[in-house]
Amino acid sequence: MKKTTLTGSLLGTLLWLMQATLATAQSTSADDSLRQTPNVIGGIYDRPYISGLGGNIAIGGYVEMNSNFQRDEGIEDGLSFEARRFNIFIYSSISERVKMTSELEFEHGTEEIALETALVDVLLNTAINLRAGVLLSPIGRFNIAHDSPRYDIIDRPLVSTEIIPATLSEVGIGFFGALYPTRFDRLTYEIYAVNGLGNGVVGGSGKGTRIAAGKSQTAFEEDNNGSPALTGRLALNPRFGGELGLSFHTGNYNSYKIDGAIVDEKRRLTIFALDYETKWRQIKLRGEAAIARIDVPQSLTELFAEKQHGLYAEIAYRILNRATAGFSATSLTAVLRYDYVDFNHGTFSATNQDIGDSSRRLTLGLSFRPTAETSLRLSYSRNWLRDAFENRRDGMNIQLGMATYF
Amino acid sequence: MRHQQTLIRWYAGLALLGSLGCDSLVTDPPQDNQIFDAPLDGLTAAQLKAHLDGDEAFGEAFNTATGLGPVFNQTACVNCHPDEGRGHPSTNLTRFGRATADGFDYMLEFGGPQLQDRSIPGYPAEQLPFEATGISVRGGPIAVGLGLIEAIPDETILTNEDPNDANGDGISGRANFVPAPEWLELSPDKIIRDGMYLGRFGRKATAINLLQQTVSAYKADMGVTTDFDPVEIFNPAVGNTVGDNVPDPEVSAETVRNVVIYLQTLREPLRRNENAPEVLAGKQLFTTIGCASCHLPEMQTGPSAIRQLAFKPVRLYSDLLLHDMGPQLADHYPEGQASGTEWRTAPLWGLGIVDNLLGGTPFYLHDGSTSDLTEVIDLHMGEAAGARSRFFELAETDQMSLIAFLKSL
Repeated sequence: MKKTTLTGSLLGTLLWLMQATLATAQSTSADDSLRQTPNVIGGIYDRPYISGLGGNIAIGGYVEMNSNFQRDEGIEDGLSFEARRFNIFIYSSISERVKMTSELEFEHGTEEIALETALVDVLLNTAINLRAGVLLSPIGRFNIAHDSPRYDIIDRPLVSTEIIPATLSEVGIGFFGALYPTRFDRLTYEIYAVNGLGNGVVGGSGKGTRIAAGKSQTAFEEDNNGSPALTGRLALNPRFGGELGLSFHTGNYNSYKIDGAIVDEKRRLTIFALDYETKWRQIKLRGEAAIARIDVPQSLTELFAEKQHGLYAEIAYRILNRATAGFSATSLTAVLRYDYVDFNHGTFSATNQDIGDSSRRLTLGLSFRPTAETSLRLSYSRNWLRDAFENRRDGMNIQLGMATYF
Repeated sequence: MRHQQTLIRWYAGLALLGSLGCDSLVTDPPQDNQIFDAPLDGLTAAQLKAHLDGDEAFGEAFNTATGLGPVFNQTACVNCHPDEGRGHPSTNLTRFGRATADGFDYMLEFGGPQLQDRSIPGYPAEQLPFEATGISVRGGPIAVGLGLIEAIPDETILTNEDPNDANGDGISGRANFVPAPEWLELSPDKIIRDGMYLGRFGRKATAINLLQQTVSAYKADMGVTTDFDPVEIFNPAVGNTVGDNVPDPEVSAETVRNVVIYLQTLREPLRRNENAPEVLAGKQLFTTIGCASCHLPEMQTGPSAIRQLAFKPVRLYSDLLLHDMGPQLADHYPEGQASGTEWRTAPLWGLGIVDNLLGGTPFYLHDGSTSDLTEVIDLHMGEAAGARSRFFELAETDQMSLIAFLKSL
């Protein structure tokens, strides 16, 4: 029944896209400035190194470091520094209609080295283009536009790293494009078949269902069950600005089939996400919400979540925006973010009590930008963790950091 | 000028937020008498380091890559002992078997004696066989003060034995002597009866020391093998002896020993309102009506390699002996010399703060089946029937005093 509904929805979406594609092809009157705006603001084609492209290859990246002063339940480990990320971008405009972009990430020095993106885009027309390779799964806006210098708070949103396991890079193939239902409105879409997440979703972490534990390097070689997952996002850029996105990621995550033999039941993981970003005068709002549904073996229910959800909401206010201290265009932004994640939305059958396992966080930050590409950030975050039995553990973190594109 | 005013407003806002209380902004440590997981006072730096290493191992959540399963009950020690307190009913484990004409069958062919009702994905969990007649459901006990309990000499515990009720007080505590596994390291001063050793840990006193308790919890509760006991458990119904594909042993002796040291050096729970008049009155009643006959207020440790444990009073409110608790608490599951109606006297220390670590709800008794101390007392039968009757004969205010005393422990 679920499969039928999903297939029906996908078919419906496809038909609608075809209709919109035809409408777009007939319409030549879309606003030029809208056409020149990248499909994903802050995404892989909205990076400063590309806009300065001279030849047919450009190299860029970003670097990020910060300090941490954490205190949990009154216990602190002192001050430490963290080499968070050093990411290198390589972009090549192979021809007018064939582009390649890649990103290699070094996290915590060389503790984790990952090929985050390595894809080829074949540009057919505005409405439909082909993309293949290691791509950022379009589940939630943060996953496809997460470069640190773009953000005014050092830590990434919880929902975007715990429910949506950003950065989620997967190997796959699919389509993307933009449609213009009216002159001033735009719809962009991305849809890909990918290898999907793996066995680690359930069992990969002893702390319970952790979707991020389903990421696996072996998935860059082959699908663990031979049935690709599907992921896609539809985003609206309305005439009054901003962006509203709806996205999904669904597929079987477990190795239910090995060498053709069925060794387990199929277990599906589905994530839906809603994201928004808008700007009004000096105020910028953004946020993301996600829900996940996970098929869990009967013997592991309660200990491993079948439902998870979370959200973040952020408001940023630009306090200053002028030339300061020898810099031609500086800005100072104050930002407030609320994070919430419920890792296990369910009930203990033994007591009929809600299962805890949740995390809340409130972050206050200041971000000074000597240039648009560089952010010096100070933040204070207070977090409230609850274990499965609703025991609370309070913590806080003061961070000072820097992130810049290069 | 306008920008400066804006900045001033922001700073004023931040200052106001700060004034709400620096402590709440940077998080306060909880009060010492409201928590379980604190080390013994006076540990040396080296002991404290081992304690912290053990703490980390105690908190480790096993997964499919680190040796969890193939069958198991929980993924981490802390799941059954959250913040080193007692377990939530959702983490109860089940032991089972069946009474036979010859005694008791632990039903090994069905995965007994412990039901591992969880399994790694793709592997079947064990099922409780319908033939089982003795089914014992148990929660994790408080995991602190155990070093002190371990350091009580055998002789001290056996002094209180009265298996034939020679003194005629209706209470006939007896020790549970159990066989020691080959790998178990035992001190030479252990008393041996018929080749068996005094058990003192576990709901029926089946573990001789903390090393045995720890190794068996790794294996039976988490499906994790150790250097001490490297043989994995499997679901017999599967018919083969492969499962998690992680080479055995999955945990080193070093890690096990760190956990043992951690358990040994967790201090006993601290009391609250100890000198309040109501509490003092309840303490007196506790002895007067006979509760203290089994819930012995204090014992003494003997020598210990850990100086902080040697020759110390242990106010655990238990004699660590087996007592018949009557039909209402019977699990019909014998273990060692403990019958299906006998339980080791549960230590009462920490009773007043168990709810702090269970989200606000105290789950009392071996299976966490009630949150009402009066109901707990009401379920005491067998050897405790006299004390129970005397409790319910008390005036309501006296009953409340006794409950207040229990909550001060």
